[in-house]
Order: sequence, then C-alpha cells, then structure tokens
Amino acid sequence: MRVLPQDLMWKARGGRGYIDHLKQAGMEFVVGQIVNLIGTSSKRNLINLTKLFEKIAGSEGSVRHAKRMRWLFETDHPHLAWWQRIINDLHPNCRNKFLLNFFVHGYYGDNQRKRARFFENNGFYPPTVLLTSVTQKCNFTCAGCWAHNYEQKEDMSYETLKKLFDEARDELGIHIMPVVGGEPFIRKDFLDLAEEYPDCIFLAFTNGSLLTDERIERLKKLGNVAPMFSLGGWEESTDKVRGKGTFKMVMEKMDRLKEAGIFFGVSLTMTKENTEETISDEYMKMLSDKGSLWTWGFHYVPVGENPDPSVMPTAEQREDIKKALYNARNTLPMMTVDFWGDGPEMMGCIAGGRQYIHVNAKGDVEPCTFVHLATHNVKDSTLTEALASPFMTAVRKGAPYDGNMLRPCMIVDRPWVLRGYYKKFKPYETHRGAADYLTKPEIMSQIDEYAEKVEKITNESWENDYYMTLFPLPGEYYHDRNVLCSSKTPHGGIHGGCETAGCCSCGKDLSAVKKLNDEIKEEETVGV
Amino acid sequence: MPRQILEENCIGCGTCSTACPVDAIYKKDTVYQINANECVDCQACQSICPEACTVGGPGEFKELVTK
Ligand code: SF4
Ligand code: SF4
Ligand code: SF4
Repeated sequence: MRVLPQDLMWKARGGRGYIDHLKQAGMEFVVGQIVNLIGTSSKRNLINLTKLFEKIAGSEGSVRHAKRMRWLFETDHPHLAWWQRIINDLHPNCRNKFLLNFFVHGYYGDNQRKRARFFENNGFYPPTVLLTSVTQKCNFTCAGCWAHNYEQKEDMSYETLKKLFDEARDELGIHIMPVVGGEPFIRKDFLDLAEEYPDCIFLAFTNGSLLTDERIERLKKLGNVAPMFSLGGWEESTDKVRGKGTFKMVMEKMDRLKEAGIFFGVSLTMTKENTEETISDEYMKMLSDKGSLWTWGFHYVPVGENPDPSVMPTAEQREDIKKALYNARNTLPMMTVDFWGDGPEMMGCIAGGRQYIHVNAKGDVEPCTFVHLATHNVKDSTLTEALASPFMTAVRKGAPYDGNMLRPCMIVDRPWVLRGYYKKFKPYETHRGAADYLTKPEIMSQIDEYAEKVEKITNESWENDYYMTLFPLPGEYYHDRNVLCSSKTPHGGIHGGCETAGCCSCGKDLSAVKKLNDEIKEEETVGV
Repeated sequence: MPRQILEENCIGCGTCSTACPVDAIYKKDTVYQINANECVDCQACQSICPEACTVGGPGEFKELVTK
C-alpha cells in the first residue's frame, strides 16, 4: 500500500496557488479582520472563511484541510456548531488568538514559508508542534505519573525557554506549543513567557488546581493560553488517581473558564479500568456541555521506572476508544482526538519531529513525551541540531512502518523498533529507569504480548476502515488522502486497494493519484 | 525477527534502502539485501517495495516462494 510521504504533503505549493511573502502577510491581516467582523457566525460567513484559508494555504496538506472544512460546513456537520461555539461563546480576545495562532499561523500562513526554508537548509521538514515541559514540579502525586521520576531541581531557566521558543517560532515556524509538566502553572513566569509569544498558542495541560480567579483574568487578557484539564472518568475514578476532591474542583474551574469565554479542553488518561466510563456517551456529553472545546484521548503508556503494562487499555478497548471519540466529534460540537486511534490522520507516529517533539524540563530533547531518551540538550545545542541527530532521523524515517497507522506506536505496538533504535543509537536516559521498558525482560514480555494482540485486532480494522480520518462523512473516504472516494465499498473492498488497481468503483478519476505516485517514485530513484 | 528480501522477486530498484531508518539494506550485485544484525523490523521497507518482496519470518517466506 502506498503511503503519502510527509515530505510531499508539506511541499510548499507552487504554480497557481503560490502566494508570495507579501501577499501572504496581507492575507493574514485580512483573515484577522474578517474574524473580528464575523460577529454573527452564519454558515455563509464560515464557508467564506474556509475559502480564504484555502487561498492562503501554503501546502497541499493545508489546502486539503480547508477543503474538508468547507465540505463539513456545507453539509451542516456538527463541526459547524463547533466553529459557531468558538465564534459566539468565546471572549473576542481568546477567539481571535485561537483562530489566528492555531489555524493561520500554525497551519496555513507564514509557517509554511519558514518550513520550506528550513527544508532547504536541513533536508527535512520541522515538526508543527513543540511540546515543552516547563517544569517537573507538581502539587499533585497522581498514580502512574512519571513526573516525579525526574529529579526536581533542574527546570530550564526562563532564558533557555526563550531561546528554545525563539528558535522554534522563527526558524522552524512552530506556533502550536503545548506545555506539560509537572504542572505548568506552578511556574510563576509561565504566563509572562506566553505573553512574549502572542502569535503562538499554548495548550497548557494542567490539573486545574492553580487556576485562581486572578490567573483566569490574565488568561482572558492574553488569549493565547488554552488550559487542558486532566481527567480520568467520573468523580470516583478521577479522585482515586488524582486525589480526593479533584473532580469537583475541575468541574468548578471549567464553569469559571466557560463564563470567562476562555478556550479550554480536557485531556483524558485512559486505563484498562476507566476506559468504559470515560468513553461513554454520557461522559462525552457532559464534557461538551461543560464547555470543553477539545478533548484528547490519551492512554496510559507504561513509561518511567518499573512501569506496569497491565494498566494499558486492552487492544479491544482501543478499538472502542477510537469509535467513541470518532462518534463524539461527529455528533457533538466538540473536537476530539484519539492519540492512537487517529493515527491515520497524522499518518502514523508523530514522534521525533515528524509532527512533534518533546523538550523535557531539564532541556533534553526527547522524540516523544513517552520516550525518555535523548541525544541533545537545548542548553548546549539547538533544537535543529537535536532534530538532525541520527536517532531522531531514524524515528522520523521509520514511521509509519508497515503502513497500518492504527498501531502507530514504537513503544507498545512495535516495541522491537524502539529497542532497536536504543541499541543502535545509544541515546542517554533522561531519568533513572527511563529505559526499563526496553531492557527489563519481565516488562518487555508483557509489552510483546500486548503488541501481538494489538496487531491482530488493528490489522483487521485497518483493512475495513482504511483511512478513517477525523471526519469522513458516511461513505466518504480518501483515495490516498487526496482524492475523495464516495463509495462505501471501494475497489477490491479495501480503501486504497483501488490505487494499485488504477481505478475505483466510485468512478473517481485516479490519474492524479497515479501521477503523484510516479512523482514519488521518480524522486526516490533520483535520491538513490 | 529481521526482514529478508526475496532475491528472485527483487528488481533492484533500491526504494527500500532509501526508506530504511537504520540503513540496514545494502546492494548485493543486482539486488538488495538486508543486514539481519542491523534490522529493527520496522517494516518500512515492506510497505514501500513495489514488488512486495521483503518478508518477515520463515513462514511468510515460504508462502511467498510457493505462490
Ligand atoms: S512513540 Fe507512540 S506515543 Fe510517541 S508519538 Fe509515536 S505513537 Fe505516539
Ligand atoms: S524495493 Fe523491493 S524490488 Fe526494490 S530493491 Fe528493495 S526489495 Fe528490491
Ligand atoms: S524492516 Fe525496517 S530496519 Fe529492517 S531492513 Fe526493513 S526498513 Fe530497515
């Protein structure tokens, strides 16, 4: 099966769609004005907005995204209600910052230019997301969290963080910056830092306890910080892991933020025990009603010192999570993303700078938040150097492995891959016990067993739901993610099978896909 | 279990060697072969080979030969 390489996806647009630097800057200004003037979030206005997005889109990937949005709006998909919620319910400041920073800067606009330049200089595309642990300290001691495995004293200085963010924004074109920890709000200067990057959006993964009224006021003024609350089910399950009273406290903070009109979301940590309740329709509905605009489904990953693989959601549960989050975003005005089940959207594992990169609180550059191995530290090298290291290059290059993006993970789904990288590139462990899951036989055998089950189950569903992207409408799939298929059962019964056959029962002209494939082949042969 | 390349099927295009993250694939005469000590079994080569000639364990190998 042919997988569209990211390089092609992010290739800057040439020809007719190309908009030069000045024009693009102008466009961004126009988008800003339109968002300001939109006031009423009528369907027509929003459709016009997507047309504008399409014009300023700097790569094939973002053109596709804009087209898809328009298509959703035109068909009255609940995603339209999500946009209307953003436009009507949020404080104008937060609304504009989110739309501009996330969509215009983050995906469509100026970053594409920087990305193209970066590619020219370095030979690979930079990630779109920089995840930073701004501190390792936390006022909670949740079961299963690795934050306390790290030594607590060595958080990066304000200057180091600035240097890192400057490089990320100005050189790599990254505007989407999730911050984790520890608890990011423990760092008193975190909001000062966010203030210095008004064109970046900071998604702050937080336990919520430190969101005082004063801070909420400040968030409203800043507009570019979106808290993401950690939850793990209803009151009993959440409190069991996170401490008594946590659930109630988070509910209260959500009400406050909703009132203030601040963009916020929820990050769910799923385990074997709490999966059923966290993915239930009632729970999803509750989150949406409470005002969560973005809900992330993360599953527990056995990382840290002596982790316990039996806590992970089972392979069957992962299928359920995928379906539940898919249903939620296709029925509720809430965006949901399943970190593993939505692998196809990101074309497999995003680690190592393929789409994202993690810098821990000490400054070590790790391929993924769940892989605590590094070769570089931002204190004495640049992010670009770290990304270019053989270790990161391999992590980027190997994905999406055999092409089944429903088992994207080199930690739990294909553990031999990460073990191989560890052996070959010898990255250092960023805390004691970081490589336990790669070296301790009793943990390894449990993960192997898990991987086997995942393989069996997801291989089957990969054949049946080929390219189940974030929003395929009934009977609509992508041909190689570029051309839409309108047939429920495409050629050969497998989405993607048509490509090799050169035609599809939906009657779509696949010559574009063929041309693209030939182009890829040509490039690859030239590269030999 | 490291991957293997089926010599009879390989057309020597080298596509797989550009895909391998650990540079385990080398040219041997007119075909390509995998260095079993280096391979991390990521299967990237398998998904990209136009002739579907990289295979996994011995079972899979046999199946393809007899096909
Ligand atoms: S290594 Fe696993 S957890 Fe990390 S980005 Fe890749 S798939 Fe996700
Ligand atoms: S991609 Fe397939 S045909 Fe081409 S060299 Fe590799 S094994 Fe041989
Ligand atoms: S399976 Fe992966 S590591 Fe092994 S030869 Fe193929 S591409 Fe290289």
